[in-house]
Amino acid sequence: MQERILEIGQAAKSALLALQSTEALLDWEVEYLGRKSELNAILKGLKDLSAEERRVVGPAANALKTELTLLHKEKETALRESARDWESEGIDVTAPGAKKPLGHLHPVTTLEHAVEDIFTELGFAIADGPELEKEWYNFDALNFPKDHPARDMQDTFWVSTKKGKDRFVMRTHTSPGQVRYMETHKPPFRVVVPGRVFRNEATDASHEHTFNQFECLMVGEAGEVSVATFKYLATTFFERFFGKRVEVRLRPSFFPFTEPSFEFDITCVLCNGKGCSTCKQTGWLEIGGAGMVNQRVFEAAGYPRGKYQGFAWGFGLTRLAMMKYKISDIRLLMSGDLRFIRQF
Amino acid sequence: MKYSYHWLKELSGTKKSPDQLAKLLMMHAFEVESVEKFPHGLSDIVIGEVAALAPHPNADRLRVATVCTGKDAEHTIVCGAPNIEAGQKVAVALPGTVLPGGMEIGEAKLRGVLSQGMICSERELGLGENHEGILVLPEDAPTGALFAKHYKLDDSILDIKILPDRGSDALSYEGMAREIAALDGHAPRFDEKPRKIVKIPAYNRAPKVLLADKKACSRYVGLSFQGVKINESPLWLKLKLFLSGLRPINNVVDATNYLMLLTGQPMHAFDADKISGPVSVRFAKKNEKLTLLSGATIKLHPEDLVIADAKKALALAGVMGGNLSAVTPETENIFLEIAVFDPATVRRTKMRHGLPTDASYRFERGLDPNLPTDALREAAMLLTSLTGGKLMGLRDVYPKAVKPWKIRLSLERVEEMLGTKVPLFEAVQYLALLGLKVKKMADRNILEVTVPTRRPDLLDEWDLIEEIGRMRGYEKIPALAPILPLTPREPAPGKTFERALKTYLADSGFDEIMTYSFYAVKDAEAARLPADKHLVLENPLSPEHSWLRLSLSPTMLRKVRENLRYQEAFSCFEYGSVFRAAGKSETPSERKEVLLASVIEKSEEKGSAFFALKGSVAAMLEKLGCQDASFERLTPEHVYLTAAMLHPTRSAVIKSGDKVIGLMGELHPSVAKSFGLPEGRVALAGFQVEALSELQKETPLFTPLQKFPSVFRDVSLTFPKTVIVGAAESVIRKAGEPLLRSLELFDIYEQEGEKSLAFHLAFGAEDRTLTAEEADQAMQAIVSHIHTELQGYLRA
Repeated sequence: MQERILEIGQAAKSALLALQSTEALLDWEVEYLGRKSELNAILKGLKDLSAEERRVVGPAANALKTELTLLHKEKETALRESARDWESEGIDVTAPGAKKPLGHLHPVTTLEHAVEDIFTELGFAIADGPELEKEWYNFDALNFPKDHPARDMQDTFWVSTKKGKDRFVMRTHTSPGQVRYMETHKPPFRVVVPGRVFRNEATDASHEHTFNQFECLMVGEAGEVSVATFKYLATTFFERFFGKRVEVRLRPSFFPFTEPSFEFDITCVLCNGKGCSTCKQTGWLEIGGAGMVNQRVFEAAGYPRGKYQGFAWGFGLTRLAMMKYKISDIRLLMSGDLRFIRQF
Repeated sequence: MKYSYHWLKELSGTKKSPDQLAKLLMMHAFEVESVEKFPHGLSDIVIGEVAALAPHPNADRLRVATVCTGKDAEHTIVCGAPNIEAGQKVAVALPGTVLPGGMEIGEAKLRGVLSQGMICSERELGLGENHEGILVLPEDAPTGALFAKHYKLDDSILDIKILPDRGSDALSYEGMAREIAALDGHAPRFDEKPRKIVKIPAYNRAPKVLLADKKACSRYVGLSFQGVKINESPLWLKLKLFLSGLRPINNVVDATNYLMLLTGQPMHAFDADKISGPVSVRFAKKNEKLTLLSGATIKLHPEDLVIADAKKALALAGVMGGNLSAVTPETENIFLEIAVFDPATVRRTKMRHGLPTDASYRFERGLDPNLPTDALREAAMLLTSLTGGKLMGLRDVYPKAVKPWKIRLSLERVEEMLGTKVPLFEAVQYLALLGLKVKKMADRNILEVTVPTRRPDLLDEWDLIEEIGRMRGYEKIPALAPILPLTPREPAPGKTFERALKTYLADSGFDEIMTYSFYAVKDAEAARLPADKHLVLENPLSPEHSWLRLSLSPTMLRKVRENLRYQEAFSCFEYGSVFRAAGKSETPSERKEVLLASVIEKSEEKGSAFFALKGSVAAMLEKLGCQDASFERLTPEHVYLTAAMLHPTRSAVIKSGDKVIGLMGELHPSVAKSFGLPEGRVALAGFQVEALSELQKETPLFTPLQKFPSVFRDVSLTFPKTVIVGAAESVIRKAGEPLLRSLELFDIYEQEGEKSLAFHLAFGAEDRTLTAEEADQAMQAIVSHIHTELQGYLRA
């Protein structure tokens, strides 16, 4: 009996494989799964078998029935689908999809976000400040004495205001943000101030009178924040930003609002410090200015002299964007040319 | 300032090469902008001796010289210089030599005599203007030696950036040499030379000096010389000036320039015979005038400090001398000024009259009032030796002598600031090398440091910490992570909003542009913005960028026009600050705005540009959490700065509830024309960022989903033309209550004074599936209301 079941199964499967039409499938169903089929007869006759035989034959017959039913269903679907004229319904998948608008952020914005994200992870707050700034915040509070050549370091756009009032400038740096923030906060704190700054200088492929900067300020009690802390922070920031090992080098410099003051360089990220055309074969890229906040700036913000200590550093977002995207002409950034914007 | 390497080496005693020196300075003191070989172009010029001189057989003015340039090396050279004499040492260009001017010397017959080279004049060597005769070298010039090498013209020039706080000491060769020696770890070589002693005659013939203001002039030294001969400077002096980029003039002027380079102390020589009576340093009188050395006559300001005699102003103190008292070839007696003027006074005068000079550059950075003490010794020696004049008198008015000052330095503070420990002996060594006196105190952690007056930049502990840090080298400071309490960062809602808004706009099809914060008067006019609300730059780069933007529109419209050259349809936005002039009592204001612009392809349909942008605006407002946005036709009653640039009947105020949050519309045809833009294709929408950020999304509370399906009806309703969609919608919404779930306009059709609006309507109930009859009843209610309220009817 068992053998017969196997035979039926084999015959049914090979017949199913051969058949090509719905009509033939109907005949096959009658023959192998119908009421008068041999398999059905076996199933019906189970009750006449001995208990021992029933235990063997029953499951085998039932299993075959289940299997054939399933195969029938599959064949039925296959026959139906192959009957359809797919070609005439066909489309050209290389034709364009329905248009969905997608715009682009300005590369400086994209970079500003990336920079903010790194500082945010390091626990820095983000602050904003006015672009039209009082002379006092832009210069006096930052220890630029009146009638001092230090003011020549930054060519300034002066805004006409009526006599006898505060004089206003287009801020020449984001550093006024330092004093503004300190006026409303007590150390310890860490904050970054991104923004647009202005210098009264002629524009060419590498100079712009309007560009974007970042100011970073971290202040604590004396001893909490040192030059060593700054080195750590700058290194960490640039390693995150460029995604590779970077060394930071400090050189002496002068800014009225910091003491000591530095220029800082990082190892050229293109040649990893070996020397290339971007770094003029020096292996270093000049990035920005930094220093320990001058006690006179703390005093301008209303802090007692000598109590706090901190560092401030600034760097050009515009310059960073030019480096990162290898933009050869700084003027493109303010060109409003969408052919440029859409590349980022 | 540009420094000659050889000169620095001579004064400092350094053994470093120019490049090594540049690196040393870069890492410990000053930025070196460039190190360049001095481009003398004189490599092949040799020193020769005129061994014999004979007349030229065929020319009266020429002579034939036999020039010896070494053993067995004699050349016949035809020379026309009137000053040639046998026995002279001269600079010779032999055949094959190319002169700095590019001329190549060859053998040539001159009036029948073969000339084997040329004896050079100063001008031919590129060393000066003199071309009246050949350059005669000092007798000790070694015959046969290379000219450039012997006179150390094979030099390198270091362009060193002296920052504003170091003008007092480092803008001089001696100051720079002192710095270099300190970095090398020894005393500068020039300090080892014995001090010169100046002998002053018993009878002081120098005019008396009166200081009107002790602050404006802290010290005034005057030296009188008699019987000077104004002449050319000797070659060594000319070459020193030449290497530092100055032009030799005459021995007196050259000496003052040389001493300024050497010591940092500017000096000015007057023709003493042009001074009558005592010399006074005073502020200018009202309407006083002065003709400067440059020839220009300026009207003086009462805050200009002048040097004057009994009658008139002679010079603009610290800036420029006067024409009348200038040293001329006829001058016989000299009054030499060595003074220190107030930096701010000099700076204001310089700025006022636009006269940046080498002297003003030094004075405005502040000079050491004790510097004249050394400088006057050098000056007395040099001028007497150069001019043959005699020192006849000296005045030194120094009302309040500046003395070195003391600073207490705590080593603990050094460690706290630098983040690394600096051993006591090291700190002491660095300070001492810089010429500071250091005294150890009982407390081993405190130093008492005495600062010489040439370093006014060292005023407090922190200034000294910088000196220690840089001398030691910042590379020795490790990078150390701070140990700080874990405090959450302060949120920045404004920046968070800015980012969300910009990101949303970019994601929904707007490209972000950035434009200048300035535009031209004509841009404001073209955009019909009110002139009197604009702030103006005092010193713009150009008229194109002279006004602060009151609106983002003018620059945006210019950029739209530029982009239309490359594409037909696009959308972009700018997020930025705009500025507004103050009324009488206020200060000028600044606020952030965002401006959306969209440009569509040419369309016959009226208002396409408006509606294209309105769709984006509505989506943006929904994204920002605004549930109740509405658009109202902009009317003349709405007074907004930017209203006049919009099309009068295709523009709207955008409201959230009752509050106006923005303005949008197509461009006014005349504005479009002014900016060269097509009509009907450009629309703008502008918002104050603050208003947008206040549309804070409230936390949404869940409402149960409708369980019973909606019944849909499409309906076309016809109204008189004046009925606006907003009005029709509000009537329908009200009349359809409570079963109307939603309505959506899908077509507008205007014809013969009528307007047809087609809506998709959806009806439903909370508790049951609606029957068709119920939906029809609701429809009838709507139709009857629009008829009574708006004279509308259902189109068949």
